[in-house]
Amino acid sequence: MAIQWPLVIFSLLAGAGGALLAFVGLSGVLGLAKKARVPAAVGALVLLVVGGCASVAHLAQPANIMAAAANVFSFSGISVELIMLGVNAIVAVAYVLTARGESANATKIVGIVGIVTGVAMTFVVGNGYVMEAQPNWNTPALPFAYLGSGLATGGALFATLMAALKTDEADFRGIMPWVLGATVVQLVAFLAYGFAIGFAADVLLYWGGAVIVGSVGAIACAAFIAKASTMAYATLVCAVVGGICLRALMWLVGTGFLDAFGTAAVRGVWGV
Amino acid sequence: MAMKASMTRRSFVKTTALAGAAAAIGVSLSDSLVEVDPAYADEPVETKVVKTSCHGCIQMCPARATVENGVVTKLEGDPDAPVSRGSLCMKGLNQLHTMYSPRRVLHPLKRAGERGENKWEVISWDEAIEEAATHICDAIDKYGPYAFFASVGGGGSYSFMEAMTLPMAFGSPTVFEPGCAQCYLPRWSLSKLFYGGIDQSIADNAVQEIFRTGDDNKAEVVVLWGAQPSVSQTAESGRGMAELRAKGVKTIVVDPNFSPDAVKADVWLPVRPATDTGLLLAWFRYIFENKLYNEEFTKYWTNLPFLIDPDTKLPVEAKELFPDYVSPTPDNTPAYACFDARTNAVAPFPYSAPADSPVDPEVFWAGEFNGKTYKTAGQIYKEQADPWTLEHAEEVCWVPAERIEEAIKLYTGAGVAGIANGVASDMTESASQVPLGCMGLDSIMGYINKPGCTMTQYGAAGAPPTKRPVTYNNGFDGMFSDMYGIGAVVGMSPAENEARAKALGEANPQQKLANQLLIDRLGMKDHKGLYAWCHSHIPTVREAIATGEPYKPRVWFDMSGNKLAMLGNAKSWYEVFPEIDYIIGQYPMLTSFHIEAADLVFPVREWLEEPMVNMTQLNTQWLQNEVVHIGETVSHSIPAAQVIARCKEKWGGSLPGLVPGYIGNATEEEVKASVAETLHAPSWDELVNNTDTYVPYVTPPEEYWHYNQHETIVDDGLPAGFGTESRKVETYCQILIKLARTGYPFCYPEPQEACEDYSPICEFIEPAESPVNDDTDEYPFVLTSGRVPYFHHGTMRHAAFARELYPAPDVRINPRSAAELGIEHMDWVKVSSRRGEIHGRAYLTEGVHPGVVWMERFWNPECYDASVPEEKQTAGWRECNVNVLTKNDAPFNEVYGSYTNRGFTVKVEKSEKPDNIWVEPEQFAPFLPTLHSEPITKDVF
Amino acid sequence: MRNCLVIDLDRCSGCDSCIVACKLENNIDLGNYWNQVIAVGPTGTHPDIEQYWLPVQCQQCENAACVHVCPTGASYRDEKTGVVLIDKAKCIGCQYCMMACPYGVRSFNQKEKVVEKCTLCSHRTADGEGVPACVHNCCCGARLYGDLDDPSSDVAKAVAAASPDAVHHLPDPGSAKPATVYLLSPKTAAWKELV
Repeated sequence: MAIQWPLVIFSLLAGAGGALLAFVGLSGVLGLAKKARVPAAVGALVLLVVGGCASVAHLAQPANIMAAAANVFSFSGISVELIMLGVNAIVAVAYVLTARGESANATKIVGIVGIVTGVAMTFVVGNGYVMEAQPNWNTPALPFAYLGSGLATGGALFATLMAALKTDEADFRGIMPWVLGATVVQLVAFLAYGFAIGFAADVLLYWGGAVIVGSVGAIACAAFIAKASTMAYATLVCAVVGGICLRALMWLVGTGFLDAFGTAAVRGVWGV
Repeated sequence: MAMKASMTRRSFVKTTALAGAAAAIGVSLSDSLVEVDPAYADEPVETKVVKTSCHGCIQMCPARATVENGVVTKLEGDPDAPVSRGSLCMKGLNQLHTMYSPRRVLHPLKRAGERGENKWEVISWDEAIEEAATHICDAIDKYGPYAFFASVGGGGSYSFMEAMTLPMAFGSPTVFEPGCAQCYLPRWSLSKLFYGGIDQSIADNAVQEIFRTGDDNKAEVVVLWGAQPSVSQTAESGRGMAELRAKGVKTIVVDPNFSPDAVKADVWLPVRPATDTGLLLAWFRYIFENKLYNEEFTKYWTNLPFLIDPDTKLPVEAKELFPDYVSPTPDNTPAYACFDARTNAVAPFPYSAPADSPVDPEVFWAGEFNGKTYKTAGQIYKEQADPWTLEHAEEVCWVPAERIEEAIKLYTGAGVAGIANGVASDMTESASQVPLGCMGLDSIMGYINKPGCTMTQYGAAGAPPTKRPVTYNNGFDGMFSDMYGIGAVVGMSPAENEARAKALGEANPQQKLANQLLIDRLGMKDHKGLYAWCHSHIPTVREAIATGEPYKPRVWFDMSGNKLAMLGNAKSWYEVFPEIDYIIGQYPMLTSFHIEAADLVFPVREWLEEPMVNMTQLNTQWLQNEVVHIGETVSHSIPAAQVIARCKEKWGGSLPGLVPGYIGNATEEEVKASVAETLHAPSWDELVNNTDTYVPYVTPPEEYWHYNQHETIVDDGLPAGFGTESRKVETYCQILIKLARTGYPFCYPEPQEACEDYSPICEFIEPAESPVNDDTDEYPFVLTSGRVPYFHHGTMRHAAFARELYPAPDVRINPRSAAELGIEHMDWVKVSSRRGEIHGRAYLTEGVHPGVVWMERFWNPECYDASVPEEKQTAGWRECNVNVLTKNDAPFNEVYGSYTNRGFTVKVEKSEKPDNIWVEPEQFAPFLPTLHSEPITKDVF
Repeated sequence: MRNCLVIDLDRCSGCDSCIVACKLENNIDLGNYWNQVIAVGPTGTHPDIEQYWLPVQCQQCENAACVHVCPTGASYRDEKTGVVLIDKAKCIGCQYCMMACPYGVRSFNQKEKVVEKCTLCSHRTADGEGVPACVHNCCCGARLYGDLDDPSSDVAKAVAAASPDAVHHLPDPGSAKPATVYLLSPKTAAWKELV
């Protein structure tokens, strides 16, 4: 199948947005990087909204999204994505509002909710592709790869915001294992997906982009975040590259179960 | 059956929408409505369904056209048709697009630029006829009648009879068709010479018996020899084959290509292209050797037991050996000689019913009589076949021996079987030898005139005989024989023929001119079989144009499609175009030929516009209706008739040729009247107003289907026999010997010059270019061709829905050979022969032998499409046209002069797509129909 | 009710006429198809080979993934006929159904920006009278239309008459249950599972 760029961008941004929200909640639980939390929550909201808009570009008419919204309880993969987009956006808004209020506990609780919904977001943007008709997508490793990509990108983004906002070095030391962890999760999930499809994918995209640059590179950079906060930027770049490569290759290996019309279009023959 | 509905367009939309699902499923209603000019949107929609017949190929399946406000919006097969049963293939369906194609020629066109520039000026019909008539008259006045010549063929052309007779009107002998000797003439003509009966071609509707329906179908085994009905005539005989196989009839297919019919066959014999004669002889040998032939039929109903004179190669008549012998049969039924097993001696063999025969003739015998060594015709055949063991055939023809044996056993083990002989052999040097072999096999098996075989006589031709059957020659049913007093009648005694010719000559002084035209026709000395259809030998015509010897054809009236795509070695023709002073064409579209050559083009009707009678399906005849009519197009016979009339005017009321000469209607009224008459309707109006009453015209089955006619006792007290000299099936086709020597029975009473004798039986011919004969390995593949279901001959290359599926020709090649050449599936390849090079796309398949490639004709109208920038345009015949490769030089088939369209050698290389060729579906958008709002027009003439 | 096609591959000769019949009947754009015919083979080595043609279009899956994944209900099963259809008015062009179709038999109409597929010519067949254009015009009498659950239908009769080893469905990726039946007797060619 051809790479559906609007959906690549949507799932990358929405996944990263969800994970960023999760990192906001996490930083609250860990009591770190307070300075970055609200900007990050706002950033998450922006990513979710921009990502949502990108997905609309995939439709015939942008206005058609309203029809999908009107049928949101069909619980098709797209509906679930829509629901989770909405939920995460609400959580992000709620976080910003509660953060401006008095109750630290309320903020923390909303943050914790954000961890759950954010991680779920990273998962559902990949889960809709799990279907019988696409043997190379029909594996739980696929949404986990999306989850890994989302977490790594979101985590790196949180660290990047911290760097941009010049948070304390201690904060970096505190968050580093979590960002590193997210990139490791991404590596494991990408390897798992590769394994699930027998590594039958474009070598450059998979091994070069997703695994080495996107995951190993991100891990290597994340490990040095505490030492040099600018490494956060590098981690983010790696994670984004990895996320894009993984998604692009997913489309390319989406050759279908029996692609009748695609075969006929090139006067293909079956059975030989 | 025209059912009419009247409703407004809006209500139509609403009504359709009410059909529940239709509203929701989003079926676009535009197939029926969107094309209508919006101005008519609120006018009532009148819908009618009109009975007609498709003319997407020559079989003409009955079809139904839905017409809405004068626009044909739907075509489908007529379920009442007995063989096609509602089927309609894409060649027919796509007429919905070609009928309304923006590339239709709707008005007479005169060339405005140089030939090849594709620049045209629209002129009036009157001007067009004047142009044509002036050029013809001027040329004939200056150079004589032989300066004129005509041609036809290539698909989508119905002017067969017209082309044959058009030069007669001007007193010229020259006409050709790229088919003819290369398509059907050899099989059609030989069946007349062989047994005075109907031939074995399915495509040409000759073989009907095997397609009878239900319990009337008695076929058991059908052999498709070089035929692929499922591709060539998909909806009619393709459907017929599907029904036949479903019924359990066994099939054997002889074809180098794994055609759909081969795919479905019980036994497939993938013969090396053009070596069919070897395979046939292997069948003969096996059948003779194992005594599998029908002994009684062979002895008494074929001429194989006749003793052949080694000097004359003709059967010896009894009176030659036994001067005192008095034949008990009339003069028109000679007694021959045989070796009698009862008396163990050479004896007279008078014609009689088998039971009444005084002799028990040996089929195989050789010995001396009166100091001369004679062999029976059967013996000669046996010796001819003798080297052809199954193993030898495997070696030469590339078919496994055990497979050949399996096929022969199936064929000979059946209660009844029949061979359907396809076009393949017509396109080879063995064009006469293969039909001789195919009919020969059926004859020694006695598969003749029996229910369930292919060589049966039906309809008027099969009516129970009352007299000794005779066979007229010269034109269909010998139509020119009585008309001009030419040609002998086979089955009359020499004295009767002499008397007849004398009487006709006295009654009609045109006999002399008619006979002279036979003698002067180009190529006739060597290939006298062409006389059967009054056609010239194509390579000889080309040579005459190039050299002016023996005379120079200068003004050309072509009555059909793309000659450059249809004529063998197209480039050799392109090169002589400058030698031709004036070229007239007629076709619904401009083809490469018109771009490169034509000076004037007459617009003719598409089949949805032209009244005609269909080819029949079994005992039913159907109407090809005038469903619509746009522009100034005319029926196919009219341009020539009008031009002849104008010439006659110019010459002061006379023509230099034969009278009646041209046979073709001059006005639509005449066309319609003749159609009405054929369908037994009192008038055209009555016919179209009450179509259901007259269509189909059904001959009662008991009047149509007849069997065993040869056994019927006729007025001379003898069984009728066959319309041959011997009154028997001439498996040893003795008349071919006479044909070679004098042109008898065609060129008569005045003979043609003699040439080398023709072989009266099947003999092996190794193709001139072949892995065996080639002295170079430059061309390692044997190329053969065969149809694809998307097109009929040169037609439908403008049909976007056909082209998007099959945009460029496949070059079928074995994957092992392709691998050696680094060629992958659908790679563009260059195919070269000694004559030129073209391109196609490799289609990798085990369906062809590693030494064979297969490719079908193609031409590309997109190359000069209006949507292509002028400076990039080409005429579209050099890119993918297999006829750039084909071989139009000697050796030709001896009898018919057929040249080599199949079975010559080529090389294949990986290549690039030629410029201008469209392969992406969307590229064909300029071919989509646009003429729906053209007004319906009245008849021009 | 299981309205669908039964296609007799012993008869089909791969002439592609059903494709054109469909395109003309349903006014389908160049490059788009609602049905196609794919050669299966020849398999084996020349001359010991076999082949059949596989006409493919919407298989009318009993458990139609296209319907499940559609976010707007545009892909749906018609209550009256049981046929899986697309309501173009509801289709938002997300093409999710095209990804979810196991057989790759849906196409995207670039002009209307909606997904299309075989409707079994519902405009002809919904009243229970007509047959799809591809069935009517089929040059081999290979295509039959009707309700598999109605024993008197052409399709049910054809399946009942066929030897059990000649009755096939396209391979099922899991739970799709394609309803369309292909008849292919081993004498013509061995059925290939293709996946």
